[in-house]
Amino acid sequence: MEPQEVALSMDGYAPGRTGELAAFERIVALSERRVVGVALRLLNNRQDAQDAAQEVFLRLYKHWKRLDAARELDPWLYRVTVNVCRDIARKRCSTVAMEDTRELSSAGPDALESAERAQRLEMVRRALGRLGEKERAAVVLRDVEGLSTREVAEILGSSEATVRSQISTARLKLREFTGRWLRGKT
Amino acid sequence: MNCSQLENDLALYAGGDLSGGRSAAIEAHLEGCLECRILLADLHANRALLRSRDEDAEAALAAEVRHRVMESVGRTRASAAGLGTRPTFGWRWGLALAAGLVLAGILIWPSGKKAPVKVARDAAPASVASNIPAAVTARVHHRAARTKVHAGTRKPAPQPEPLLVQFVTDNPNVVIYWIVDRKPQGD
Repeated sequence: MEPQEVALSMDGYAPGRTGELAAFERIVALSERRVVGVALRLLNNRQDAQDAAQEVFLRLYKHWKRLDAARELDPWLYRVTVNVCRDIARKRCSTVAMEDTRELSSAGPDALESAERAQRLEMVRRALGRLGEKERAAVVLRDVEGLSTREVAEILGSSEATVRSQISTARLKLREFTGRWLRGKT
Repeated sequence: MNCSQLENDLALYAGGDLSGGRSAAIEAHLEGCLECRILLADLHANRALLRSRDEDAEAALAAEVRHRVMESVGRTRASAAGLGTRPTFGWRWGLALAAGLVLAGILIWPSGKKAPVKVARDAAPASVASNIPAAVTARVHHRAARTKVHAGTRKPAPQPEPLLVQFVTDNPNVVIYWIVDRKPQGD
């Protein structure tokens, strides 16, 4: 579903709603899928991703009037999402939860069509959880969100050369992890 | 150049992150190296898997997040509004009173010229003077001015009459009238 198709009505809010609140909700509706998607991949845990996304949008509510939405909103959201996920991951102090990975990868129709593909998807996401914080954030922003190296560097506060190195290392580590798993199967 | 030396460039090449010259070198190497072509295929496959989304699950999670966020924001706004409504009435009257006192202070402030300001009690408009009752009398002390306040009584007319406040200063030649519109009483 495209973000624009997200229903904006919220029962219980209409009577006292102002234009300001409706505008904020519109921004949330347009960006919630990106924030949730990044949080899911960085944390690989549904509950943690939900908590992270909620925290991101509550922070946005405090700051959104000061943001130039056309220019600053997306980088701001990505940056805060990465930071909030990092904080939650550090508090959690654990790696990937198996049941959560299954939950993420089991429901898609493509995954059901191919058991091996579903397993491989699970392995890739587990491997993602084993990467370092910066490598994981860099590869998610570049390969999943499709941001440019320069944009990723700005969001992570690094140089482009550093980000390229992190992305390269992350891709090779992911391949190594899944390759080991595939070799173990044969 | 052997394959291990090219691994990092190959990983960048897989995502289109390599410059033109180095890309050409990788492509030349790939033509004659099956192992690197397999590595590149694995890198492409992993990128595709990373990008795949469980649309329904993510949409449901996003909707839940939005509901919780808006609920929290709604509570915050309701709380802020509850705190903000109470002082509004007093704030306006306080501002009006402060403005009157400042005006009085400006008018009675001692200046080099001793010429009295020629504003007599009789100078008040007839309509205003007729509203001055003797029912309520109050005194307000201000640094240089002693002020008497006379409040008007209401006539039986449906609209409340304006409140007339008379400031009597130490200078008998200076009398200040302040007319304030009043809101209708609920009774």
